[in-house]
Amino acid sequence: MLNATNLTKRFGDLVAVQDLNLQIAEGDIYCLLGPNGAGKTTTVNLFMGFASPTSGKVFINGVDVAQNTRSTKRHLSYIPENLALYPNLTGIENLEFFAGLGNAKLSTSDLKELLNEAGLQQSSFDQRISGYSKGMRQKVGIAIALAKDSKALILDEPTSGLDPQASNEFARLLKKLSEKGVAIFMTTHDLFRARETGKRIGIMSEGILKKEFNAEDVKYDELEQVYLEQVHQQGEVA
Amino acid sequence: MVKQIAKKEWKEQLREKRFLAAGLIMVLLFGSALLSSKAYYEKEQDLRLQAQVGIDENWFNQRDKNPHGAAHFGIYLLKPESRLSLVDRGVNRYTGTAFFVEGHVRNEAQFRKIEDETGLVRFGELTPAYILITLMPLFIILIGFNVFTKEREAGTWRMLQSHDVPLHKLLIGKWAGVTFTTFMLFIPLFILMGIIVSSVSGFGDFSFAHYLMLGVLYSLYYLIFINITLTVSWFSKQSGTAFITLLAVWIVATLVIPKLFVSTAQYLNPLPDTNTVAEMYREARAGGIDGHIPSSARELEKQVMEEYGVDTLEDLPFNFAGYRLQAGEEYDTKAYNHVFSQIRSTISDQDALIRKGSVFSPFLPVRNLSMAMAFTDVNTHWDFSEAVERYRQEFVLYLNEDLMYSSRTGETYLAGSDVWAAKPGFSYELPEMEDVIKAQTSNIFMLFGWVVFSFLGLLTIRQKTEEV
Repeated sequence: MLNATNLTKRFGDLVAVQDLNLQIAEGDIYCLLGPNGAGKTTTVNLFMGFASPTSGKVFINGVDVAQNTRSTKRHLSYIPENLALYPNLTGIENLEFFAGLGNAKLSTSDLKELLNEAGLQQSSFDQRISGYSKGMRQKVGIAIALAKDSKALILDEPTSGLDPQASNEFARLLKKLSEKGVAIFMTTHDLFRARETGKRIGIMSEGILKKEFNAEDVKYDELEQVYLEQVHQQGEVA
Repeated sequence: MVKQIAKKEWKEQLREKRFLAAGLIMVLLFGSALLSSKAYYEKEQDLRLQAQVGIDENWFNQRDKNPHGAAHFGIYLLKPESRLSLVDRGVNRYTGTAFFVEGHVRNEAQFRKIEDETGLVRFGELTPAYILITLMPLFIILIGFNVFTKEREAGTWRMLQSHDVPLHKLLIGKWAGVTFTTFMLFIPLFILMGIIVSSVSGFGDFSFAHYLMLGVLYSLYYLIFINITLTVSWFSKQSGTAFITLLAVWIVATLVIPKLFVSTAQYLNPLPDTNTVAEMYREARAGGIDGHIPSSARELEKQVMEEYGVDTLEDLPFNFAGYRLQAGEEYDTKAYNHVFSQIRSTISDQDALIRKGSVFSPFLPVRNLSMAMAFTDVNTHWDFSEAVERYRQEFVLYLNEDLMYSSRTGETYLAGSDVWAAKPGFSYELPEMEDVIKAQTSNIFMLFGWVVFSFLGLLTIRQKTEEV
């Protein structure tokens, strides 16, 4: 569903992403770990078509993002670290708006059902987003993805700043989406959450994908050790 | 999708305290401007009615006298006003609306309101037109300056980009949202104003066509500011920058350009002062027949006696004094026409320069069109002034001819109430719509030019791939 082939992005002399090859299938949850400046967000931006690759290609559902940026977004949902919604609109109005952009024609009861499915408390549906916590906003983001009936979901550090309970709830929602066949690509600093949520894990440092493995093949302690080794190794090289 | 975006934009604006505060201020200002205009005109109408009664009484009840003496006694003519002058007072306060009609002299309008008011009035009266032309663009700027920048600043732009939203649909949606909010304020105010203005009793005509046209012109003017606001918002990186830029645009368009071009026009084409006009008239009049001085008309006496085959003026079938006074009057008229054509030429030169200012500001054409539709513009003033002058000539001719044909040369003749009662009547119709449009072609052209230009500005908006 999500493919990157020899993907490279440079900003002047800085190589943000180098020769990245990545395949994320339907129902897969891929967690990309890495320190700040590793190139995670740039990778997300390349998948979303927010930035053009210097070389290499990104495909979504077999369609080249650089060639058909708009059409690839029909299959894609995006939740950034701080999901920006319209503060003067309520949760249900935000969902209605973004679902409308995705051409989804949903009734009010459909919208409520989606918010419910995303785990948002019913009493919050008609409250303005300005009064929402980050966790509540992320749930609206999930509801948007559900409304759009996305085949792929890209998340850029979605759990940073969430309390453990909200983070756990969020992970549960992602698993639910994965069970529906949605390909999920998530960048995060949170090793524990990556281990618990992801099916596959990648470690990126200085734009290079250093290591990839199945989440079930590694314990949390081992993951931490591998991560530190990869990041430390990079630090030593630097 | 466009509808979704427009609806979202509109909902957001309605829930913004900024919009509510600005909207409330606009409504309050507009309400007070409308009510003060209504009160002002009702008071003026009262004064006009009283004045008209006094003018008629003075004329009809004057003592028996030489008819030419009655021409000197004179009458006042009041410029008819449309009820639309409640919307836009235009130049009326500066030009005056009462003309004194008398023999020998072409007077300009008198009793200029502005002379009785403080200098502060000249900085701008609070009239409905002032609110709709000067302040409404500021309201548009307030609701629309951050229409794009807020999306970038809040991060929602990324959310929009993550959907399959074509830029042109986003632009149309946002344009529709801002336009809807603008007209949601303007249309009820305009309808309310129409109801109030049309219901003012005993005061001029109400032309629905002119009022409707006024609404269309204001709407086009708002579209220009909506388009400029959206374009500036798109090209600005921050809301603050967009706001400052648009505020500068507003100041330049509504204050700087109009004042600059009017001052420049006055500087380059100065109008003569009263003394100079009097001197110009004296020069134009020099050597001509003075109806009051028989010695100035010796040649005329000879010509007339020859023409009628008589040896003395007393043998003429009419009173030569009346003939001489009329000949002098016609000479006066020629001299005044000469002077006034020079003054009008100077005013035309001023107008031509001020019209050029329309290239730099849509305020000028809409200001001129607004006054024209309310019949308070300079053209209507001149039109009425010309009608008064034509009547003055007819009025004086009537009295001089009465002297000529009701008596013989050398007789003392006093006209009475029957003569006063039979004086020619004066009627004046305000210009028809097609005449107004014809006179305002250049302003209409400029306004449409601005509309097209502002839409072209929107077309320069292109998707930028953001590098992160």
